[in-house]
Amino acid sequence: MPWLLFLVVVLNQAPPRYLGGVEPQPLDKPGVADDSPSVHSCSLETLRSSVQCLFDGRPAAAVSEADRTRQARDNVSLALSLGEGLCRERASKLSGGEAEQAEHLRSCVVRTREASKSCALEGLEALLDASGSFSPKGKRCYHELAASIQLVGVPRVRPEAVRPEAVPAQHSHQNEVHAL
Amino acid sequence: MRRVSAVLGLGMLCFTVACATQEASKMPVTQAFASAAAPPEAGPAETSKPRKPPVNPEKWARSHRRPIECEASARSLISTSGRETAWTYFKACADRSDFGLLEVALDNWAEELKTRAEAPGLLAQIIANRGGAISTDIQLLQKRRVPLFELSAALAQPEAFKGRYLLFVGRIGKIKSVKGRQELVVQEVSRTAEEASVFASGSYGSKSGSSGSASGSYTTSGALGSGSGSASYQSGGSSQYGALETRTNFDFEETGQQIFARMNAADPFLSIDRRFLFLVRFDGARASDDDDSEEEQPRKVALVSLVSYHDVSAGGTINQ
Repeated sequence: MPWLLFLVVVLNQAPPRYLGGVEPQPLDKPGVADDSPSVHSCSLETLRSSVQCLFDGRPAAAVSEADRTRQARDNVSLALSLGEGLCRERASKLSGGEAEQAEHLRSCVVRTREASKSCALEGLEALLDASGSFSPKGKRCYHELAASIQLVGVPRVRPEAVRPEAVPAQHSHQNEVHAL
Repeated sequence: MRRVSAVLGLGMLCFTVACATQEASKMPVTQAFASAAAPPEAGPAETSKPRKPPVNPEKWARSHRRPIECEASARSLISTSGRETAWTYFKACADRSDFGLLEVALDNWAEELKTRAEAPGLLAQIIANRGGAISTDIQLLQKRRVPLFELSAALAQPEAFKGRYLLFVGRIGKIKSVKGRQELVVQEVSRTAEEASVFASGSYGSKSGSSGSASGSYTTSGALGSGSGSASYQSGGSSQYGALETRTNFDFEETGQQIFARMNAADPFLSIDRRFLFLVRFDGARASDDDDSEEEQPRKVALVSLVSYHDVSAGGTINQ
């Protein structure tokens, strides 16, 4: 009675030990690594919230020279549109009036345009993969975009705030010391 | 046909009730299906009468006073009940919280430890019982070609170690959940040892109180000016005599290495700031946005899948 034996074996199974874990495998047989992107992948979402992320993306690679030219152009265009969108979001949340928001938005867009020049990736691959994640090649582009966006709302230091008369007072004190 | 089904059903019901009871049955299930050549009786090598293993391996394992006796008893079952049964009872021994006999396990059960699916978790538990000294214990495994590795080796050669099992001790820093998928951000820690000289218990000696005072007086009399003076000063200090012994204090400190550990489902016992020994499958190394350096080989983050986790304390749970 094979089905009876099967039932006995099933009823005598040990209870599961690993809650939420991967099913264990024998050590002499390496398991299959999970290549899917991490939930911490660097993406538009992590740019928006400025949290730690991993460059986990696997975008498609350009095949021919013509593809590379087109891909480089597309990458820059995509980076610019992502950056401008985030600039607009951040500027709209500022507490100042419309004029101040417009000023911050304008500066942010200027910085983003400059940052997007590093996002061409020489056209070797797309800036984002199918799930919207940045790849390791896009690390510099990501940092440049993040830096340009995070400055929104940071007050600018005006040059005229530095007082020139502080310097001569220190100089006269030194003259007194030498006289002694 | 109906009569046959009824009989079979009744028979199945009786059999399963017998298996579910905690009382020791007259013949254990493992022995009922053992090979015909295996004798029904079995027991430890030390006693003259072989001990018959009960149905419940956990209860049997707890009945031994020391882990070494439990392991020896399990090993003695190989000749009487077969290696499969012996392995079942050895697993129960290794499940004890005071089982730290890693070398004994590797000497006597190496084949099972390499080929059984439950073996990685067993090894992780034993190493946790010993205090989580990953580097030292992994070396013992490597000597016997047991393919369980430490994190630093995998990060040095990520492609070679993909799919392999790793062990590390870490503290949970963050938990992130996106669309039902959970990941832990873990900070790796390593075990440190600091030696200190202390007086052994039962030391002998004396301890005196301490005080310091000075007094003086002078009296004069007579025309020639005689006088006397006295002064006294008392001082003391504590002293202790005894045998010195060197004690080693164990602790964990962070190495700076981050690990992102994937989980199939949420686990309420995995909470932030808790420290565990983790058994994981290595899925690769990734660059993190935290690393701004332009070095050729910047520090990478390990991406792993969690297999199991085990409580660990730096001093271990056994008396080594």
